[in-house]
Order: sequence, then C-alpha cells, then structure tokens
Amino acid sequence: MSTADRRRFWPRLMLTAMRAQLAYPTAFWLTVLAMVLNDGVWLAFWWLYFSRFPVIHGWRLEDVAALWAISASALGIVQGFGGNLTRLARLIMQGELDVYLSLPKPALPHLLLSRVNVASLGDVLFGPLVFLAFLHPSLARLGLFLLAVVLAGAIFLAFLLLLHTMAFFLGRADLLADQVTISMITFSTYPSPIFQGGLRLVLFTLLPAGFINTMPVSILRSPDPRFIAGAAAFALLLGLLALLAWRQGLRRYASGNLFQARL
Amino acid sequence: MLAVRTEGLRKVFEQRRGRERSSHVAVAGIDLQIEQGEAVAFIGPNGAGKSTTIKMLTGILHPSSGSAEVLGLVPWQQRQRLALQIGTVFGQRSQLWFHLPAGDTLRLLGAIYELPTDVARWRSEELAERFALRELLTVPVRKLSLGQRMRFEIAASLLHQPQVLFLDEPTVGLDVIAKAEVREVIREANQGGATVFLTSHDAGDIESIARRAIVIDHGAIVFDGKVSSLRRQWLTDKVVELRSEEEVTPPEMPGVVVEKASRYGLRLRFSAQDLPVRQVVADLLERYPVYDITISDPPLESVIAAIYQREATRP
Repeated sequence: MSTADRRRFWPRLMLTAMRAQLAYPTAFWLTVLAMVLNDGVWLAFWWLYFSRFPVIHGWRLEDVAALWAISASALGIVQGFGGNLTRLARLIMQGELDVYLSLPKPALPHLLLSRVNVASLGDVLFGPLVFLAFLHPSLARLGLFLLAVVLAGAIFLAFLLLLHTMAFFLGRADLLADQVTISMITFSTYPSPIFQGGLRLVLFTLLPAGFINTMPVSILRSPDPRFIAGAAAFALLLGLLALLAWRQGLRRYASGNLFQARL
Repeated sequence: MLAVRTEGLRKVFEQRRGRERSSHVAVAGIDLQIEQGEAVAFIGPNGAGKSTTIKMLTGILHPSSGSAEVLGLVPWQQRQRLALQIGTVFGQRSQLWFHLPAGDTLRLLGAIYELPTDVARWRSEELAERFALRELLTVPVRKLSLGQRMRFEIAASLLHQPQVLFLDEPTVGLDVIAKAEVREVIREANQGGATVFLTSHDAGDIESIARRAIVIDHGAIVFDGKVSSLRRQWLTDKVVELRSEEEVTPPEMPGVVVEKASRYGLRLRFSAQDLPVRQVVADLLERYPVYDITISDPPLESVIAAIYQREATRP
C-alpha cells in the first residue's frame, strides 16, 4: 500500500463516522437545525442588547457576531469531527481505549475521528452563516476569519485534550472536564474587555478563553501580528503538553471490562 | 521461532480509596514461551490475570516490570507494527460499527491494515462466505444476533491474515451451533499457520482448539502442559463405568462414590491417589459379572470447576 493510500484512511474514517450518524437522517438534521437555532437565539439576545446599548468597552454587535462566528466554527469543527474528544475522560476511565490501541493506527487521532458529534455540526454551519451575514465578507476578511478559526480550533483542541487526559492521572476526571469545558465555552463567547484584573490572567493561562474572545479585535478588526504569534505559540505549547500527557497517560492506562460497542 | 516470549511479566494496579492507597497484583511475573503455530488455551478463574496478560501482549497495557516479545516485537513499544501482524478478539468489546453494515467495518479495517483495495474486498468476501455471512454484509450490526456479530468479529480479526490470534473469550454468549462454527474457523486459522492464544471458560473451546493449556491462578502460572494431561495433573479422580450381565446393587466401597446407578450399570468415581485403580477394578470384577468396563479421566468441565473451586476456597 502506498503512502497516498495510507493517507486516504483518515478521510475514509471520517466518512464512516459521518455515515454512522446519518443512519438516522431525520434525527441528524433535526439535531443540526436545533443547534443552529440555539446559537441564533444567543445572537438574537446580543442584537437586542446592542439595540439599547450600542457599545460596550468599544465592542459593537459586529464584534460579538465575529466572536460567535469564530468560536462556533472552531469549537464545532473540533468537537463535531473529533466527536470523542468530549468523551475522552470517560473512555479512559471506563477502559474503552482497547479497540483503538489494538489497531495499527495512531490511537489518539483514530479515536477522536471515530465519532461525529452531530449537534456540533450545527455550530459548523452557524459560524460561516454569521460571517457571511454580519461581517462584510471579502477575500482578505475571509483569510483573517479562517486564521482565527484555525487558531481558536487549535487552542480548543489542545486545551480539551489536556483536560481530558487528566483522567489517566486523577482516575475520575469526566465531571471536572465537563465543568471546565462549559466554563471555557462561556468565557469564549463574551467580549474580552468585560474581564479585568486577575481573571484576565487566568483567561490567558489556566482557562485560555482570553485568546479566543480577543480574536474579533486582534485578528479581524485590526490584525495584531504579536497577538497572532502569541496565540499560535500558546496553542503549540498546549498541544505539546497534551501529547506528552497522552503518552505518559497510556503508561498508566488500566483498561477495563465493560461491554462496549462503536456507536 | 517463538511467537510469544515473556520473562517475569508483571502487572500491578495501583488503587486509591479516599486517602488510602493499595496495590493489586494482577499478573505476578509470568514466564511464557509459545512457538509459532501453537494453539494455547490460557485458562483460570475470573480475576486470575488472563485478560491483563493478553492486554500486555497486545500492547494495550504497559507492564509494571518484566519483558515480553510477540513476533520479536515489544508490544507496548512497537504497538502499531505489532498490530499489523496480530489479530485480536475481545468477547466483551466490539470493533464493529454498531449502526453500519458489518461490510463497512470490514472495508474500513482493510484500510486500517493497509490492504490493497482488491485484496481487502477478496478477503472480506472469502471470510463472509466461510462464516456464512454473505447475506448479512449489508445488514446494520445492531440488527445482527450475538452469534452473527461474534462471527463478524472473528472474520474482522482474520482479515489481514494475522500470524498470532489473541482471543479473549471469543464464544461468550454464543449458542451451540455458533460456538461450533467459531471453533472450526479458529482451528482452520491455526492449521493455516497462525498461532492461537485463547482464553475461555468453555471446556469445549479448549478441547477443540488447543493442544496446550496454561493455567493461571492469582496471576501466576500453576500448570503448563498438554490439555490431555491437564485432567490427570489437576484431578486425580478416575471415573469407572461398568455394565453388568446381571442386575446390580450399588456397592459400598470406602472412598468410592456412586455417581449414577441403573438396573445393569454403574458410574463410580474415586481418587486414584487414595485408592489404586487396580484394587478398585479387582474389587468390582469380583462383585459383578462384568460385561463391559471403562476407566476414564473426568471431563474437562470438572477440571475447570476444580480449578475455580480451589480459587474460591482460597483465603
């Protein structure tokens, strides 16, 4: 088998994961639509807010729309196509990595891409729709938008991965991971200037939502090369830490005997 | 050439309850040597360390100490390379996609094992034919019976023609016919040159697939030899069945248990360690006009039950 054939495995895996969800097409499309509507309601709230108070700390409706477009697209891609990411702590805890560890492919990407999270596909649709509707699309702005989505996606992926791999060391990290993920998403969808002082430090270190909620201003409105380089370096560092935790964690992996199926 | 070799392979699980830490020795430093082409049954009661050993040999678990090589590779260090050459079936874990037809999983596994597309298709069809699954290739896995699913699981593990097959309770939950089919396919794979390493609580699996048995108890190997000698070593009991020319009354012989009595027949059981066989037989020949007599080892089920019972009564 050639290298090109080997590379074709990954899209084939993603296609299989998508087909597994499309086995119930009505449920699939209703779930996607429900998530688009859910995101839309949040944006509608912001529209109502800005219709009364047009500016908060220099932010306008367009900036909040950009924030939602970036975070929904990034999180949607990461959680949607890496559907096992938010279940990883449970999979580790319940000893369900065995199937992936017994096959001749890198276990981490194999398990992440083996499940599509349908609800998150609603986010993947919502983000670009908001970009097209609110953010005056042009080729240059599309480039900046894609850059922001890639950086935000890398930070989400690395952070959630590091968080969930704690299950190797803590034994039970699923509830902690769920709570922290909600906090990360919440802080990632509010304008950055409303967070000040010590909280701001936390948002650029322990809970790195600060990088994401700064992107509408520092990438889309007035691109700041220092911010972009900083965000990229942080994503890289977090990613390396997550991979190290995964590798070390596998040495402690205890497996288990639960009955298990690939859904 | 050795397919599996271990030296002092040991696995200790650390446990934490509140602030207390404790450790549980799952595998207590085992030495194994299995030649290529052998069919080995790895048996023992629940919690004896069978699955943990298989998981270390397939690279899923890292050992606490000791060494192991499978096909010359260190499983937990060269896991992906090894996975290309071995097949695994965990009776409790499925590698089939639940909502998709099993044929889709076989196609994906073809890509996972890096088989050229035409070879993967040919192997899938061959295995489906062999397991009588051809009509079921397009049926979603969720609609298959347990037996059909297990046959697909084993077909999936054979797709890439592995050199070593690790089977952890492959017939669990199957009916008699499905068990027979699965055993036959495993035997065929073994006759084709694949080394088979099997764990099972089913005496039928062990007798029909394996020639060698390794018994593990509390993480340590307590027997390693031929399946046929497992009975003799583990149970010193003998079973005597006799047919008489005249009606029989059950005998009262110290140390001899009457298991079954009919008008002209008896089935007796005694320990050959306490009573010499020739003495029992001579006594019986003297008492009855014997028409036919058979002396046999107890069935393997009794051996396995004895092993498990011993485990249950250990402090």
